[in-house]
Formats: sequence, C-alpha cells, structure tokens
Amino acid sequence: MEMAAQMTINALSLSALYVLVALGFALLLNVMNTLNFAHGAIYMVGGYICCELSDALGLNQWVSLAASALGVGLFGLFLEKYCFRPFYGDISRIVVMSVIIILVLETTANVTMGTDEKRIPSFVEGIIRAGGMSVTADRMVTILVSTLLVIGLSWFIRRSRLGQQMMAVAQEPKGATLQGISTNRVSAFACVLGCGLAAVAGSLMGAILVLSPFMGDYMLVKAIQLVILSGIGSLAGILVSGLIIGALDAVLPVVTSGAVTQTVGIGVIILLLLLRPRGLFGREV
Amino acid sequence: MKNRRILLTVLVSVVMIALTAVGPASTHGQTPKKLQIGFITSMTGFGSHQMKSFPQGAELCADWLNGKGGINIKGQTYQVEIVVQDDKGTAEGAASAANRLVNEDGIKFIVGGIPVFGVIAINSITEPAKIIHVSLWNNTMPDEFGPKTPYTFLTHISTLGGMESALDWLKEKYPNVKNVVGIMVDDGAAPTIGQLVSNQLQKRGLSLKGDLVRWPPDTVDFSPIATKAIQRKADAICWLNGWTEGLFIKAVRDQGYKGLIMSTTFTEPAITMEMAGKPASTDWFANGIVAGAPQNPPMVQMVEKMAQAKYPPVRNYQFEMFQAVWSLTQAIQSAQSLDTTAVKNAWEKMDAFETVFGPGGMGGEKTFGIKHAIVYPAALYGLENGQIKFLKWQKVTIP
Repeated sequence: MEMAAQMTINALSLSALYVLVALGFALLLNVMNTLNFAHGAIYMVGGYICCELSDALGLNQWVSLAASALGVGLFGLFLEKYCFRPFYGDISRIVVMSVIIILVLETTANVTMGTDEKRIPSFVEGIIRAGGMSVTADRMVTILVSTLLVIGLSWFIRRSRLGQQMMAVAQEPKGATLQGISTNRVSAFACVLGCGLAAVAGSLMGAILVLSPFMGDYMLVKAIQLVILSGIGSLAGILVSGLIIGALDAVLPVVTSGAVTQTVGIGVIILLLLLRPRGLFGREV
Repeated sequence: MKNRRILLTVLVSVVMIALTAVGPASTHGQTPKKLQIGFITSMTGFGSHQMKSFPQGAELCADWLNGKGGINIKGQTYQVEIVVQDDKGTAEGAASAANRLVNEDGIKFIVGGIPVFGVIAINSITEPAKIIHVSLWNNTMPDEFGPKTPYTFLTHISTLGGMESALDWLKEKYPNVKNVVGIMVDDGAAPTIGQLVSNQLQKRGLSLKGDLVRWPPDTVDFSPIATKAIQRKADAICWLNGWTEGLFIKAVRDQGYKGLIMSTTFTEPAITMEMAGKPASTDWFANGIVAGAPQNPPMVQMVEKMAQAKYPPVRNYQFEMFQAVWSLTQAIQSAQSLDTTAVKNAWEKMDAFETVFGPGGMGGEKTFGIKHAIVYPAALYGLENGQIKFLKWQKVTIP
C-alpha cells in the first residue's frame, strides 16, 4: 500500500516535470509548425542562468527564475527572427539550424560552467509526508506550476485575441495573413513564450535534479514523446500524455530493471500510436 | 669592399652555427628531450563535463617531474609533455584518439580510458602496436584487462579495491548490518559486478538482498529507484557505481529512509553533498579523499597545494591522474629505456611503488590473471549531518 502510494506521487511528480519541459516545445510545433530540437538546450540555459543569478548575485530563487524566463524569452526573439523565420516551411533547414544552436549552447555551457554539477537552492523547503508517501515541496510546486501553465496556456490560446491569431496562423498561415494577422509577430510571440517556458522548466528542474550542460538531451526526448503521443494541435493533450509517460517511468523501474525499463516504455508508446496514429488528441495534418 | 662583406657573412654564419651546436644549458651537457605521454579523455560528449578536467592531474605531475629536472634515462634528460586527445565520449572516438596518438604522433605511452567501452577501444589500438596503455579504471569485464592485454597496466584500485575498502569499513563499524541492497547503473557490467559484490559480501559474512537494482544510464530522476531500494528493506543500501550518487541519496532521504547508505565506488565528497543537499547528507560513507584532512599522506598534501594553485578547486581525479602519470614514469625510469617492451618487463618486476596515496605495490595475478595492477590505500569519508568527515586510510589488497 505504502509503495503504491509512493509510486503514485512519483508518477505525478515525473509527469509534471515532463509536461513543464514539453509545453514550450509543443507550443512552437503547434503554432509555428517548427520542430525546435534546440528546446532542450534552451531549457538547460534557462536553468544555468537562474543558478548563476541565485549564486553570483544572491538573488532570491523566484526572482532569478523570473529573470531567467524573461532573458531566455528575449533570446527567443533573436532565434525566431534570424534562425527560424528565414527557413519557415523548410523542415530540413530548421532541423540543421536547431542542431547548430544545440552545439553552440551546449559547448558554451560545457566550457564556461566548469566541471562540477550544480543545483539551484530549493524554491520551497520541506517534505510533505502523508499516508505512507513522501514528496518534497519543490516537486509539489512543480506539479502545481505545470498544471496551472497548461490550463493557462490553453485558456490563452482559445480565449485571447493573440491566442486565436496563433491558432489561425497554425491552421492556415496564408489565410491568416489575408485576414490582416502579422504572422511574423505571432511567430515571434510564440517563440518568446516557448523559450520562456523552457527557462521556467530548467529553473525548477535545477532545484529538483541537477544542472549539467547535457541535461537538455534527455528532456528533449521526453518532450518529443509527449508531443507525438498527445498529437499535433493539442496543448491540453500534453497533460494526458505526460501522465501516461510519467506513470510508465515511475512504475516500470520498480517492477522491471535497468535498460528494460526504457524498452518497455517505448514499446507502450508505439502500441498506443499504432492504435491511434494521429496521437491521443491530435488533428489531421 | 665586396670581399669584406663576404668575409663578414661567413664569420657571422660560423658564429651562429657554433652557437646552435652548443645550445641552451643542459644537464650533462645534453639538451633535454621530450617524453610525450598521450592522454585520452572525453573533452566533448558523454561524461565530458567532468572528464574534460582529467588532464589537470597529469599536467600537475608533468610540472612536478620537470621541476625536479625531468626524467633521466641513461644520462639523457627528458621533459614530460602531456598530449591530450578527445575521445568524444564514444568507443569510436577513443579508438580514433588512440590511433592519432600512436600512428600520427608516434607516441608510445598512453594514459586513458574509464568507461569499459573506452578502455577496450584504446586497447584495440595499443595492444597490437605494443604501446604501453595505462588504464584509469577497471570495470571487471574480461576483455578489459588481463592476459590478453599484456601492454596494459592499471593505476587505480577501481571497482575491486573500492569494494574491499568500503566493505571492510562496513563490517568493522556497522556490525548490525547483515545484508545490503545493491544499486548500479545498467551499463553491461551488472552481471560481473553483481557476482563480484556478492562474493565480497559473502567473504565478510554478509549478503546481497535480492538482485541488483539497476538504473538506465540516462536516469535523471531517482525517485522510482529509491522507492524500489527502500522496498527491499535491507539493513543498508549500497551504491555500487555510477556518478549521480548525490541525487540518489536525496531521493532516498526525501522518501523518509533514515538508514545507512554507502558506496563501494569513488566519489567526490563536496560534489556528493552538493547534489544531495545538506539535509540529506547524513549516514553515508564512500571512498574519496577529503581535501585538507591532516591525516592525508605528504604526497596528497603536496598535490593538493599544486592543484589549489593551478587548478582550483581540488578534486579527487587530480590525485588519480597524477598517480597514473607518476606510475608510468617510475616504470620508465626503472627500465632506463623508452622501448615499450623493456618498460613492460621492468614494470612487471617492480614489487614496490611510490604512490600519491602512500606505499604501494603490484597485484592482480590471481584476480585478473596478470600482475599489472598498482595497489595502494584507499581513503574513506563520511557525510554526517551535512558535514564531510574524514574516516580512514584503508589498506587494500588485490591478489
């Protein structure tokens, strides 16, 4: 019973981590039809910026998180204008550009951040224990932040003017232009938001896990899994696919062992996609 | 006028040739030559965020040896030069790096290889070419180190030495612990390490509870692994290998586990505590040198001073890489030759070695089938209530 309760909270916690990372990636894919493989590297940079602001300047972690999100979001403006916009519609060039960005960011971090792993001090101290399970306050905050962000982003996209413009651009860019929507402005905003979300994820992860120049690689794979499983066009679906993958990653290591865990996990995802190729909530492309 | 110019030119040329022939001041009237030692490590790719700094220890050793006048071989002085190559964290990269050092640079002595795929890849180049390969770690896999690798020497007490020192401490200080649950990364060495730790435990009247709890190499969140380990309800949890023990300690403590957690591998005390966080850093011990501990041998203190001056902060790998190069140069000096077969033969005959960690010797005949492993004492440290504590310099034997 105790183990089941602990596995449940582990699953929720892992799901929240993955959803937080995948959100920005999904936003760029759904709105800009852009596969931003550099999302993992941007997430890593966000974490390091938060850590350095906390360590070097002695800023409060929350202030550092906000500053990191803002800074990395503005970096997203640069990325959209000079790295993605010239290649819209050309997926192979966008992929190559993403790889270049990954190499530059990871190598820079590897060279400048030293050899020791770092952690960001806890955002909220303490451990919550109840009914045989334990969870740190940081993980509860991550669960809360993930859920709020998914709900908030979904609401923003459906209800706000800018959000609806994003949907229009995602569905039919030429038609959106004819309606007087500036696709460049919408794409820029989506990129700023996507990068900002990556920075939030990196900062929270830096307190729960550990920072390293290559921490984004693993999370990028998870983000791609979540997005593929949820399907293109569905942001709320990220929450469900996050729960599925988080549950697999929390339960399988306990009932199996080692590398088998990953194989079984991928096998389940493939099976689900075979049953529903467009993803659980995806639209036709 | 023209004749005077020709005469002047000839005179200047003769003086210059004479000066070149004399050269800079040198011992025994000879110019020091270079002894190039190749160093293969991951400057990029898997593990590079730590391994890219490994050459620091080798550089410190080179500085120290050169500062003492270099190495003398039959009257000729050699200044040690470390030549670093990147293995990119892959087997192909390791083989390519070894190939470059051996076949392009003509280097006859190579230090490098920690992950098993790296060691085997380097051996594939060095053994056929009879190049001395100083391996930095042994993962107990059969193809890594043994009679099939006669030109490979091991300068780290590695998995087996670490197990011996940690389990002896466990037996001595924790008599109530009768069984442990073993945690290790699933990197292919699990069957051999599992058997090894089981044997070592049985030798001490202890046992492994259940099979090993194995985690995939790219695990970032250890909560599920922690849950599984705690659920085994063993007397202690034993971290066998891997590099993220701090995260595991934190995950285990966050889930309310208050018992002993130990490691048989070598960890960096400050980094372990940084990753675990101070609240979780308690009831833990592992192999590792505590920088600044007064019980550290004189050589450790000396290397520490050098490292603090040139490559702060002080880290355990600096001592280990210093040791690797120092061992090799001791063997070369003993052979009084740069011929690799002569060095190999001389090394095999050496029973005593000076090591950074205290008096050392050679071992491995029974364990590996070849007496090519340097054996020296291991340092143990503990984490108690968020503080790093020196425990003991533990004797190690590798028969």
